[in-house]
Amino acid sequence: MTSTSPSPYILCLVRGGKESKNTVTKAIDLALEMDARLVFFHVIDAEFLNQSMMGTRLKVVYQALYDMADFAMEILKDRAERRGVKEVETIIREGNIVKQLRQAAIETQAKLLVIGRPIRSPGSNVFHDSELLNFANELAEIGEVEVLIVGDEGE
Amino acid sequence: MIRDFFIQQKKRNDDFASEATQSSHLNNKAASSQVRAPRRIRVNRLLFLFVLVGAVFSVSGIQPVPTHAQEDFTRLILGEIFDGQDAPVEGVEIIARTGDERIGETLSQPDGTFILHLEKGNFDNLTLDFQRAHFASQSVALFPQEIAQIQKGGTVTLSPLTLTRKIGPVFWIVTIIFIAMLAIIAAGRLHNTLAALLGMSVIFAISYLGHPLSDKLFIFEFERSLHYVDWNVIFLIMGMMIVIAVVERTGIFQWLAFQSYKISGGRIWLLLIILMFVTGIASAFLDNVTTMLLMTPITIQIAIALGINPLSLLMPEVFASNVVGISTLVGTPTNILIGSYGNISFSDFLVNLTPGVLLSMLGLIGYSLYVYRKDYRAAGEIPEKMLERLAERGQITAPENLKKAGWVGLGMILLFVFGEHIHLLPSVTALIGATSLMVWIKPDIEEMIEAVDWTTLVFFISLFVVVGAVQEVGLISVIADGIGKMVNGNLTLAMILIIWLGGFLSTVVANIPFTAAMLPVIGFLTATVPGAESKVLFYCLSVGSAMGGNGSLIGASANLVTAGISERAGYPISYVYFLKKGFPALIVTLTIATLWLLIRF
Repeated sequence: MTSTSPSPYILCLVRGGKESKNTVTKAIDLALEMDARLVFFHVIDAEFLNQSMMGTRLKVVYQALYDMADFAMEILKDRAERRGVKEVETIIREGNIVKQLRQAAIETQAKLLVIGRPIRSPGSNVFHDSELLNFANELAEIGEVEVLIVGDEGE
Repeated sequence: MIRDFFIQQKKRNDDFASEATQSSHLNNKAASSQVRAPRRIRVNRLLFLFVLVGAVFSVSGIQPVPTHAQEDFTRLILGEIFDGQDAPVEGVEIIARTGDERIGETLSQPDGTFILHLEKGNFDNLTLDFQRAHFASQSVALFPQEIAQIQKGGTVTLSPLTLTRKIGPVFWIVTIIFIAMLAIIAAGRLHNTLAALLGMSVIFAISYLGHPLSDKLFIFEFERSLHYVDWNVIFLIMGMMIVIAVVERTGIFQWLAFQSYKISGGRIWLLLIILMFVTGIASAFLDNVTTMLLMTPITIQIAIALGINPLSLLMPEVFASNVVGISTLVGTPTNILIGSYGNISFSDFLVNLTPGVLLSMLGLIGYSLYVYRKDYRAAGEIPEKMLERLAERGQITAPENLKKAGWVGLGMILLFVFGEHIHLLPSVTALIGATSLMVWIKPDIEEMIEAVDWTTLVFFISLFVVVGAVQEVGLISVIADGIGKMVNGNLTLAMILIIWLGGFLSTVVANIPFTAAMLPVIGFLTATVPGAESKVLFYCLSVGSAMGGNGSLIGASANLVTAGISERAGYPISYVYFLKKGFPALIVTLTIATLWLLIRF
């Protein structure tokens, strides 16, 4: 009887949309290469409601955002499965992106974190360049998680 | 009531034209009886009210503030006080003196009228001093024949008096505070509510802490500031928030969006038209932000499923929301402000604006089909699996509540439409509707109270106080004078100016404070520009301030919310992108709306 170690996790932080295309492609390629389990990870927040004048019913807004994120993640899951990734999961969380991602990395014991570089989201719940590097170093120290930052060209 | 009075000043002003001289108070017997008749009627009303109030106090046993008028109704001087825009001036201190002796004093009422009782009748000369903050003091000496009339125990009615504005340091201080508040809101440096609260606090601080140092730093007292808060607006918004909170939890928006796709049969042009109308009609009865909050996520899902850029559906939707929202009294906060100030009813908005709005919608549809034609060509069929997922999301989640909300909503619309005949205020209708709905569906009351966006209500209260200060120190009068001279009595010019100036300014300035500040200006123009009695200029302000929201990303809260959600789905809407698509839409809709209003009025 031979014992096989479980496949490693690749955590792919993604929002969906055109800008995520390269990040998702890279994550799928790596999952196939490493025979890893792929987790699409999405964090929802309603920070933009600070700019609105009316209608700040967070419960309803979060439900709508959750449904939207769930739909986008399901599409990515389909895409990864069609490409041949055997195990694909999706995780949707609410709140601060750094905290949630750190938590998810620890929970899944991910070996690799694939993150995109959003190009047009000043002030919102995304990583800024300086934060991204700090966060990568921090994760590497905590759990030996490798962080891959995917640019516009997919690298 | 005060505003009705104000709006009717043009007519009244004409009546008084022959006798309204600044310094002369002459009780001119030579004035025609036709001219004097209306004032007599008002004087009789004043006396009647005076007696009635006294009667009420005496019957109820409540002791009124001791006045000599309680003892007798002789030796009275009656009059009315206006500012340069013919708006009644409240709180003017009127002091009667004979020599150095003070023999009577009173304050003018909200409608500018005053009743002054003289304590004694034996005097040779009588001077009335008129004093009020932010106005130049005036003294008026009574003529011998008037003094004789008073000495006989009679009543003298003075000609209307116009007080001249005094531009002092607080004028500039309040102007700077108001502009700074608008700039902070536009730049997004602080939350709107915090910016308005800050403006209000600074005004009070200057008024209360600066006043002891110098009289010139007095703006107004706290009690006076509350006169500027329009509680009809506050309660109408609060009532509507509760109704909306019930409706938004029923899944109606998601269901409508999915049904739109089903009805369109995958034809993208038809889907666009249906989605724009669904969004527009929802915005006419609910607030635009809520509509876009709930329409945006499901629209993005449909667009992704169709394989098209979600912005090609979202942008037309938000345009429709901003434009069609002005069809009704409750569709936009600016309409609520305008309706309450201008005494414009729910059905007035429907009759006078809806046809123009529908025409603008046709223009918007044509524009959107043209601008996004390449995106629409990329549309494919939605795969079966995705369609199933969309159908799952497009369900009514609380059918019972939706049914009840539908009945209550219908009842509210009927009350909004027919309630005006019994002087039922829209705020009362909204509160009745909200309460009925809560009693009927028995929701978690804590949840419903949480659904009321108190920050918005605080924003409105603070805004009213800031705009009140702006009015108090005379900035609004200066603006009104300037615009009045610019349009020179030409209604068409006034309409075009208000629509287009409002439209362009609303692209950079938050349209709610802008509208609140413009209301007294529009009131003045309505009273002075021939032909404006139809309140057309209020409709022009509604069109300009709301449609202007389409001109830029920061032009309307609904734009920012749509951009926020879209960005979270990976489809950011940049300022430049919005400007490129939205500004031409603004031009198209403003042009059509201008033509409609010129034809209609």
